[in-house]
Amino acid sequence: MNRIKRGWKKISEIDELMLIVALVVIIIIMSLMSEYFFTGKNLMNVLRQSSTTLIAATGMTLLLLVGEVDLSIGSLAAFSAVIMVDVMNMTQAILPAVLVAIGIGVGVGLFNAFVVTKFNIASLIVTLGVMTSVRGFAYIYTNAIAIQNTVDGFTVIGNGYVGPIPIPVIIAAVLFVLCYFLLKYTTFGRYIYASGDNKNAALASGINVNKIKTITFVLCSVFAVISGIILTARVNSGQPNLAQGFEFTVIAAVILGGTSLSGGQGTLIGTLVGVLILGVLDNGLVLNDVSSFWQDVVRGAVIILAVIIDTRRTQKREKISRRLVEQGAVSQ
Amino acid sequence: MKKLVGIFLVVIFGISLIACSQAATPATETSTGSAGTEVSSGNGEALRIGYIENFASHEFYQNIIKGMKQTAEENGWSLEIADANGDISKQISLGENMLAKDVDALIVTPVDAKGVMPLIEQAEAAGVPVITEAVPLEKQTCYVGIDDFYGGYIDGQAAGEYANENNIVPKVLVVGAPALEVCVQRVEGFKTGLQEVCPEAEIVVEVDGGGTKDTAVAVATDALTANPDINMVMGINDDSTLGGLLACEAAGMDMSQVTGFGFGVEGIAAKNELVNPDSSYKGGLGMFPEMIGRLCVEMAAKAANGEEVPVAITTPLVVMNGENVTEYYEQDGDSWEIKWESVEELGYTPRDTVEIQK
Repeated sequence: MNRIKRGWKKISEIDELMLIVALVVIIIIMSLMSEYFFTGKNLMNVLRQSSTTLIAATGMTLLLLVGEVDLSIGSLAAFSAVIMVDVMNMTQAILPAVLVAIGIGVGVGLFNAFVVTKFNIASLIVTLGVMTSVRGFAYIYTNAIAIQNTVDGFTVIGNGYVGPIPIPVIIAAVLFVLCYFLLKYTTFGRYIYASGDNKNAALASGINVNKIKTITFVLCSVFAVISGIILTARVNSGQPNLAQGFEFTVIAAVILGGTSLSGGQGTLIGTLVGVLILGVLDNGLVLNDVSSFWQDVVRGAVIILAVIIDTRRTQKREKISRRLVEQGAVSQ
Repeated sequence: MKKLVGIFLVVIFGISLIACSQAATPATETSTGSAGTEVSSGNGEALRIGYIENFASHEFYQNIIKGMKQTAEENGWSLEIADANGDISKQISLGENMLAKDVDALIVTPVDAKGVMPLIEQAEAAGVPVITEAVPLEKQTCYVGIDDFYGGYIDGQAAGEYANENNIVPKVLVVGAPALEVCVQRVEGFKTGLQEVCPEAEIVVEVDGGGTKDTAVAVATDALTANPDINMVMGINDDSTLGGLLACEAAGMDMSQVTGFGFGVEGIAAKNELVNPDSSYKGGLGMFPEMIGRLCVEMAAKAANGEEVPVAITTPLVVMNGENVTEYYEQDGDSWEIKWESVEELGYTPRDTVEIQK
């Protein structure tokens, strides 16, 4: 590995370590502030509630790594959820409904990828438009009335356990581990990093960047739909106003975890820690009966901090690259 | 490539045309311009009323619109509805469009009390009466609203009475929305009413559910962890109350020992829970959105005809439970329809002052 990459890796590792330390510190503080925090039941709740964020954040990490973003995940979660509950009521079966929802996720993901790659429009703008219109479709479809679920057993997806472990945690863990292996140990994973790091170099090396982007857009959308299914199972109804603001929580967690907004840099472990930090903060603040307004302040501060760290990280990398080039250690 | 772009643009254009024709009214039967609905009213004129609302994306407002449409149809008035969707500048332009179309009266659910004033000025200059709903302004022809504190108060009293009858010492989880003043009023009213009837009742914790069900479930879950002795949930709307109760259920609590008293009964879900004897949702403050819609239209028509209208009216509120909900609503397949005779008997209260927030 050349010196630049080694230098960058060192920064990432230090940052990752700092993140884990930050998480541990927050956990210690929360444990001291409330006797209920460090209990088995509460920790399971934190994990359960973080699962939906983690699933979507895993997909979002892959997408951010190729240098794109998807703001539509909250709206998509709601839209696919209301259709899913309707189908579930009609068929009185869970599986076909889930498949329909995932199909919608694939469709929207393909649409996002198509518009971004074919017309070369920034994904921020495209997915912003999709976010607005898909939410609108959710309201149109339901006439703003939540669809009550009539099929028994559905809530198990959101509230059930396998042994001591909540089912959403298991789903999140499986998806996370799969993507971790995908990213670290497959060619596809390397292509993801390459496409986001330097698109032209990747293209020159024969990587079909558009194909990589399409696949990651679809993964991001499908993972968002899965999060939506779990959230819907917890409220047992198809809510058109589901997951409002979800995209910002997810993106904040991913950036906090070290993934760069400009692509090419980031790890899933970082995302996991970022998700846990936000999850622990949210949970701890409610346990301690802190006003929700302060919760908003804390969240906003964490997000700003994350962006500052991200910018500083990018600047550090550029400085190291420049220095190494100047020293003649690496040819331009 | 260019051909593709061209086709794409045409498709988008086509979709937006279709969307626009449906966007202005949730159902187009009663919009101006569709034939057959402009029947003369008593004095030989078809009254044209325009309603610009703030946020159609809620069942509550869908029901207000339902009540408005039924009233307009009964009287042969023409009703046009547009949704500002939380955008104050859009609300003003939609209002200006309606004024340009010479509506006889305007009904507005203001996005923002100060921001909407330019529209009110224009309406005044054009001699068009303005009825406001939910948000009182410094000036309007008539303000139609509910008394949030009073509603919370009678709901709290009902909760207290239920607790006394069933030997429960309420330990309450409030799922509120503290960013909205009206929701704060509802909670304050509830606390006052509850503690008057049942002094041992304790408000254990208040959380911010944001008015939506999924957020309510999440924050209620955490609150229940820290306060496992909670046995009553109060929410500022249906989603908040039902979300809180879902959190109790998911936490493995014995639901026969948990009760929910909420504010709103805005839609189908809440009414279904009320009539279900196994449900923990025991009482809800009914806002009768259909009646709010009806009164808005009636006041608008009166004002347009030059009759006198009160400065403000307070619409009826009733605490509904399993026994009396069928007095005011009847089930019609999957939905619930309002029984106009019984609700109209509740009447409304005219007021001669309007309280506005500074």
